[in-house]
This record gives sequence, structure tokens and C-alpha cells, in this order.
Amino acid sequence: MLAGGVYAALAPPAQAQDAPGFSAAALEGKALFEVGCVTCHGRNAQGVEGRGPSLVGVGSASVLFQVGTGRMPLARQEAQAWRKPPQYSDEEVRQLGQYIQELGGGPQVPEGDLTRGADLSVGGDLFRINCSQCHAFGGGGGALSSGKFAPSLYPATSQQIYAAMLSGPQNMPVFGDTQITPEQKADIIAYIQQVLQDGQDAGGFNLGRYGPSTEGVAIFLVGIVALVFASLWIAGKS
Amino acid sequence: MSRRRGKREEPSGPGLRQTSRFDVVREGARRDDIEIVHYEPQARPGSAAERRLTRTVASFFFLAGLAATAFLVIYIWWPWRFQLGNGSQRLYTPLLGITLGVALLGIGFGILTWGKKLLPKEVSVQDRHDTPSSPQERELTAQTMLYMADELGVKRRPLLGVSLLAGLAPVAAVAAAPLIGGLIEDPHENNQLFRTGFAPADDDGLITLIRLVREDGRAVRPADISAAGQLTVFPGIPHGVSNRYADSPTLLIHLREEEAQTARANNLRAGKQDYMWANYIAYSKICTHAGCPASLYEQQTNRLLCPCHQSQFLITDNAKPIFGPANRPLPQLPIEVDDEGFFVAKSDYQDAIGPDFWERP
Repeated sequence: MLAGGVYAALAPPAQAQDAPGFSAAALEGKALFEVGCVTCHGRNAQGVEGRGPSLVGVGSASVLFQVGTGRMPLARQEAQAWRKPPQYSDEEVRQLGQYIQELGGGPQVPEGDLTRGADLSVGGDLFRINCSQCHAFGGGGGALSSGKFAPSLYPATSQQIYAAMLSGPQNMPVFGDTQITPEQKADIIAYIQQVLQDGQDAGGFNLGRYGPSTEGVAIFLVGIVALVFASLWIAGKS
Repeated sequence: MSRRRGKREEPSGPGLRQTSRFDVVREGARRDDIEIVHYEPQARPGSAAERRLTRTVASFFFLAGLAATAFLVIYIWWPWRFQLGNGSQRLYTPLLGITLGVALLGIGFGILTWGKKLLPKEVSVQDRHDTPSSPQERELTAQTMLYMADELGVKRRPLLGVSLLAGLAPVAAVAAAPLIGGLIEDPHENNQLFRTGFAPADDDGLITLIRLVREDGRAVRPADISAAGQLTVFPGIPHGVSNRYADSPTLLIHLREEEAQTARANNLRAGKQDYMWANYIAYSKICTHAGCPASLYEQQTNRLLCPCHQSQFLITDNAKPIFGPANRPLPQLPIEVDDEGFFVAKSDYQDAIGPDFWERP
């Protein structure tokens, strides 16, 4: 009885100390974290050796990208996390992000329209200089080393693209605001969404937008077969 | 030549005039040992079938002409510049393909129909000569060739032969020009294979170190690149960001503390002390295998990948190749920060940039 009484008296302040100054959203996020993320990232998001990295200082941008695109929770340990249907709602992603943000700080994706006042041609220039080497000129992505790859940009939302540039998920380099300013990020996002994701393929079929090699192979295979049958037909008729 | 082989009696001149032209052709073929064994006109001249077929063939050709004209018109006047939305410029390429295709098909079908339906059906047989020609026949042919050469009169009129040679040799040289042309320019002019735009400017003994600038010419401060970030930089000189200094693009990478320590230790081991500045390291962007931009930076594994042939370089160990066809590390640019806080190259690259070449030490 005494022990219980002492516990009851001491427990609430102890809990309050555990979460100093967290906002309501962060507390919701903390609750979600302790159910879904704690196994790999540890009780205080400090990381678990061999399972998951520390999340201190990664910021809400990282949460927005990793959880918002369904990459986290991870299905299994492998070369790279894949995009999956998200396990958490937008609101829950925001709460998780708020928790990680208040826990250790880090980059944040600004609110509002991320493509306002964007200049498409500047965005195209910046895309070709900074992004196209890995994500390919058409935005379809490409291979990296040992099973890793740069993903396709077609399903990415403006928030996710912004978050990826800020946080540098997995093997993507970080493009901080001093290197690519928020205005330039808006240009790039506008270019990706309005030019690349729009699916304007003048020839009709884009064949994955891999470029002339794919198109050459396709026309060779289709064209040669057609020509073979055409010459057979002509030879048979004469 | 083969007419001489004719064994039949040559018909006399007046006889030829009495036969039809077909008979003459048949006779001519016969003298070449070709026998027309079957001949059947398909469409009677002046028949309805012939008129119909003529119209078909003609319409194919007209169609081809129409499509080709349409191709030209579209090629010149159709809007082709890229713009957003579903504008008519989207149809530019497909329309060119369709009109050109219809034109070529029109010509093809026209000729095929003409040949298969309008022309008479004909089967001719020619005997094969199994044995070589007789020595006599060969002698005759040889003499004929020599006679032709004599008739040309090059021997008697040498000027013709000389002018022919002098006139035609340059024409042959035209074909060879693009192959030989590349060998004329001296590749070592101004030591250009070993110099990049980062070579410090020497103005009468006043040495100026070259700044690292972005593609728009702005100088780079350390704070511009986040940890695990990279930036392509160029020499801060006139035309530094142009093809005139195509060997100069450089990757400036900001490593994390731990990896920077490894990189610095490996630099030291390779005799490249103080090539890095703090946690920043700079490597040539030009792959040492075939000269592609090796700029696929994996920030977790600290590798640089080349997209052309999948060469991989380890950033934390002097950019040594660890996979793929490249066999030489990416050259490293020694960097520091000047008094105004901008990155400069302490010196030019110490290794030759890009793919190997014969005289590379």
C-alpha cells in the first residue's frame, strides 16, 4: 500500500520531466513513435546499433519524406528503402515530425505552396546541373552501386521533393538552403511537377524515358520483325 | 562480248524491219543464250482493267507526293517549340513520321502495283556456263580491254592522265580529311593536357590563386554546402564556366566529421597533405576512364559513381577506383579558403585530368 501511494505521488512529475515542453502534436507523435518506431530507433530516438540510425537532428523534413512516402516503417533491412503506400495518415506524419523536430531540431519543410513564383526554365537548368546525374534527364531515376538506386520522381509531391533536398535521404546528397535557396527549390519542384510529371511525350510512347537506346532497341525489334514478315509476304506473292 | 558466242545465223537487215519489237527483243535475248519461255500481257491495252490499274498506281504516286508535300509544309511551318499543355506542337514529331511514312509507302506500293499488275508476266531461262571460257575467248576479252585503254589515248596524250590523277587525288583526300584532320593539331600546345583553369595566375611574379565558383560565377563559401552535400565548381576566371575549360569542372564535397578524418588520414598516406580544407574535399569531375562526369555522389557509402560505365571511386580514400573499368584515381584539387572566406585552389591539379593518353607520365 505504501509503495503504491509513493508511486502514485511520484509518477506524474516523473512523466512530466520525461517530456519537457513538448507541444500537444509532439506528444501525439511521441505516442506514435513509441509504438511504431522505437524498436529500431530507440526509446529517445537515439538509434539502435545494427537496426536504425539516430533521429536526433534529422528534423521534421526527414520524417515527412521517410514516413510520408511509406519508406518508413522499413519492410526489411536491404540496400535501400522502397516507396510503399504510407502506413500513417498525413496528420500522424505531421505529429511524428513535430516530435522529432522538438526532440533534436533539424531541417523543416516550410508551409504553404512550395512552387509559388517559380521559374520553369531556371528550374530546368538547376535540375540538369544538380539532379539529372542520378534521377536521369526525364526524372525516371537510375541505378547506383550495390542494389541502391535513385528513385523515380513521378510520384513525388512537392513537399516530398523539398524534404528530400533538405534532408538528403539515404544516399542522396544534402542540398541545404545555402546551396540551393528556397526560391531555387521552388523552381526545381515546379520543373519536376509541370514538365517531367506531366507526361508530355511527343512521340506517344515514352518507353520509360530512358532515351535513344531504348527507343533504338524497340524500333529495331518491332521494325525488323515487321520487315521480315513484309518481305516474306512479298516473296510469297511473286 | 557474248554476242560473239551466238551460234545462230545472223538475220539479214531487211528481215529485222518486218518483225515486231517484241520479236526483236526475243531474238536479242536468244543471241545472249536467254530464252523467253513464257510471256503473258496482264492487262490488255485500252481495257477497263488497265485503266483501273493505271488509276490505282497513279493515285499511289499522287498520295506519296501529297504526303511528302505535307511533310515539308509541317516541317517548315508547324509549331515545334516546347510549351506546356496540350498544344499542337505535341503533334509535330508524330505528324512528320506519319507523312514521311505515307510518302515512302506510297512510292513502294505504286512501284509494286505497277510491276506486279501492269507489267506483263515473263519467265526467261538462261543456261549456266559451267566451265570457264576458252583460252581463245579470254584472249579476245583481254585484247578488247587493252584496245579500249589504247582508244582512251592516255599513252599518246599524257596530259589527260596527269590531269586525271591531279584532279581526282584531292577528291579522295576530301574523304580522308576528317580521319587525318584530328592528327594535325598539336595536343601539347601550352601544355594543355596537364593544365586546367585552376592553375594559379602568374602576373609578373604576382601569383593569384583561382577561386572556386558556381555555374553562375558566384564564389563559394564553406557555409554554402551542408555536410553530406556536394557542389560542382569551376575555375573563377573568364570563360571558366564554358567548354573552353571543359577539363576543369570539379566536385566540392563536404564530408561528415568522421569520414573527413578517414579521408585526411588517407590523403596523408598518399602524400597529399593539406589537400583538404577542414571537412571539404575536391575531386575532378571528369572520370579517368572515358571522361564522363563521375558525379553520382552516394553520401552514405562515400562513393562517386560514373553513369557511363559504372566506375566507382571511394571519396574517403583518395578517390581510388573500387569498381568498374576506371584504373586511376580521380585527381584531387588542393583547396583552402582565402582571406575573404571563399574557396580557392592552392595549386593546379597535380595529375592529368580525364582518360589516359600515350604521353601521360
